Amino acid sequence: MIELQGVSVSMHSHEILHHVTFSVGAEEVLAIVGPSGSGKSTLLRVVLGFIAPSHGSVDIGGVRVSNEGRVVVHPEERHLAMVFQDLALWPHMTVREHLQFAHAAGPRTEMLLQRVGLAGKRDRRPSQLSGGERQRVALARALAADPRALLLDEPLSNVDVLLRRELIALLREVLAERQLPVLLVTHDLREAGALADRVAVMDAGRLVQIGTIAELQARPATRFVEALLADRG
Amino acid sequence: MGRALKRAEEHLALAGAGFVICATALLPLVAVVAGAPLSGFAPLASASPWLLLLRSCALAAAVTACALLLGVPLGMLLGRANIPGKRAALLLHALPAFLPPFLLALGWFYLPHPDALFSSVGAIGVETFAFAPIVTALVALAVQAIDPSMEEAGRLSAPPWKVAVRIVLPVAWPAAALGALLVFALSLSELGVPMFLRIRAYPAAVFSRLGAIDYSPGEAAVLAMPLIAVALALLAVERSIGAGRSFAVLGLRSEERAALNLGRFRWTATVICWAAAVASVLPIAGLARMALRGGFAQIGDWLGAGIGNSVVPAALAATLLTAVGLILGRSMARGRPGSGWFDALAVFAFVTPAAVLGVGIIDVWNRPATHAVYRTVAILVIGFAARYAVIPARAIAVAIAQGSPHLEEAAAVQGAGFFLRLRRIVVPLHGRALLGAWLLAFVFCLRDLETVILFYPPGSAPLTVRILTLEANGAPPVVAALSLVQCGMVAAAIAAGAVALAGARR
Repeated sequence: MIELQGVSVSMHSHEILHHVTFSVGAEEVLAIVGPSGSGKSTLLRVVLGFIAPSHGSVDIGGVRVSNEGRVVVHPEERHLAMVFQDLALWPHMTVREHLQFAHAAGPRTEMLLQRVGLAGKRDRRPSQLSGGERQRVALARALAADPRALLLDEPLSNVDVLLRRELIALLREVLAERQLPVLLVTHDLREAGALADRVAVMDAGRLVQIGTIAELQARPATRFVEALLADRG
Repeated sequence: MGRALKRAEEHLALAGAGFVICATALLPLVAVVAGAPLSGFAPLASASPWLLLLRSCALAAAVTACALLLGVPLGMLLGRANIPGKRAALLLHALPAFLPPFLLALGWFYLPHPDALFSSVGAIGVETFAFAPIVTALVALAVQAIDPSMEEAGRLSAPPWKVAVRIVLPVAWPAAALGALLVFALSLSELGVPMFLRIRAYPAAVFSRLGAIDYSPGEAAVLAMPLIAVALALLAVERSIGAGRSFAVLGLRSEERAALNLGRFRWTATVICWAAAVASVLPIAGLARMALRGGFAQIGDWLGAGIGNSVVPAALAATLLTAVGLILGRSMARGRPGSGWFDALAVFAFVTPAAVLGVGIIDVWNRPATHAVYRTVAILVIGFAARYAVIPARAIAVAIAQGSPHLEEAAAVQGAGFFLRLRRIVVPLHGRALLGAWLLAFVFCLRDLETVILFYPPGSAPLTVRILTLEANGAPPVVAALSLVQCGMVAAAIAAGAVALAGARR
């Protein structure tokens, strides 16, 4: 379980996040939706431990990992995993080395490669893979560490329609198998609807509304949420 | 006709830039290769020149290895780690790279020193501190340019030291390899340090055939041939390092990110970084110590026109090279056909030991028909342009590659020709980069000794040449004071450039 309590982040006297409070259940997928600059990615970096919240606290699995301007537990000790928006694959490592770096060993590496359909590509580097295969490597690396929670930062933002469909199917399967708390950041409400149990809408660093898509549609809290739902069509 | 000319503007500009590189660098290199067989290969028939070449290559390899050992960790620490005062430490450490290395040898000599200073070990030590900042700076830039998410992806499952070793270092390795190549080329080319420390070196053997009692320009051309082979090998290595890499990837991203936290190793690393920085500038303290023994009182008698002889050709060459670099760098950044060849030629001229270029420049320009050039400051400008064209061209290419080509294309669809786009879009957008490139070229020309010592016109000796020639017989306090003037010129140029760059940023 991930729990944020009154998290604010300020940088260069500019408030990027303002008093954000929510929790993600043990097997829940929560989508954070909002336009560019709304603070979605900063929120992920706070959860990961790369940014300390100026105010508020973050708990993971009941342990306080960040508190009032301090990172209490360092990123590598939080046992989280993330699929980065730009994938962040290491150009000098093969697919297998990516997984090994993330602590997957021997049979587990092979199992993961089979699972994401990359068994025949284990010795290739990112430059030798297609766009879809790179996405799969990033997902496999994230799962390799057997994380306590998974964070996805716009995982489908740079893929075409066909690949998006394929990756959504793969993500659904993997998330159903793993039963992890998942934080999915996206600016696309359709993507959120396809993968998430609940949606948190952010605007200008504030959490505007949180609930299921149906709840949001039934009682949009602001005009911004209304507009977002209207855009979804 | 007008439209055709407008369409051809870009090609004509690149051809013009290529012409400057060919006339200044290719012509002398061709002259060396073409002229050597006419003199016969007798000077290379014995084992002694080959052994000397081997010795010089071994010395350059040792300097390169030491520069990597010092420069890679320093570059990583000063580029990314939470070292207090890391900018100041980097600046102090980098300063010797902008000085002629033999001034550093002089500085060490004026400090209490072991006898080993006058040995190969001493030369390796002096040149390591002179050239390691090149590796440090390139590695520091490279680690700053790495996509932050690559590091963060690693940090989710590994501590900072493991991320530094397994991810940051391998990704930055091409920059370190490029630095190693430059250090090897500069060390092999170095003339002043071996001459001052009485170490036998191959370039000095070539030099002695042109400027000493065993005068024999034909033999010099023959002796230069193996150095051309070495330079070709260096060019091949440089091409393989850079193959397939875009200038944008090699470039400078200014994305803010938190410094890598070294935890309990922070203070140990800080002491190491600052010790290296202070050791780098110790020779300048040695020069000051000697100069204070009355050197400044006599300096007026010895300085002559040394400052003007250094500054004027350096400024002229830097201006020419920045103009050439703007055209060539932009073409390289945009992948224009032909630009790669001119770039390769400029790299080749830079990695070719300066003695070879000197022999060729004398051969091409020391003729009755071209004495109007050869006996004036113009020959110094040609020499600088031949050797240093690659520096501003690469700097400008990196800067332009960071920007979107659409900015220029938007002007092109409005009907703007190449020169108009250059004037109204490229130059205003990249003003700071152009200023930085000019400054870099200026400082390299200012520090040069080994290129111009072979052909400087009578009465036009730059200050570096004046110091080296005076060092043999002059009073040490005067030599030290003149050396400090050289340091002061470089420091003033860097400071003025920093102020101008800060102004341009605003």
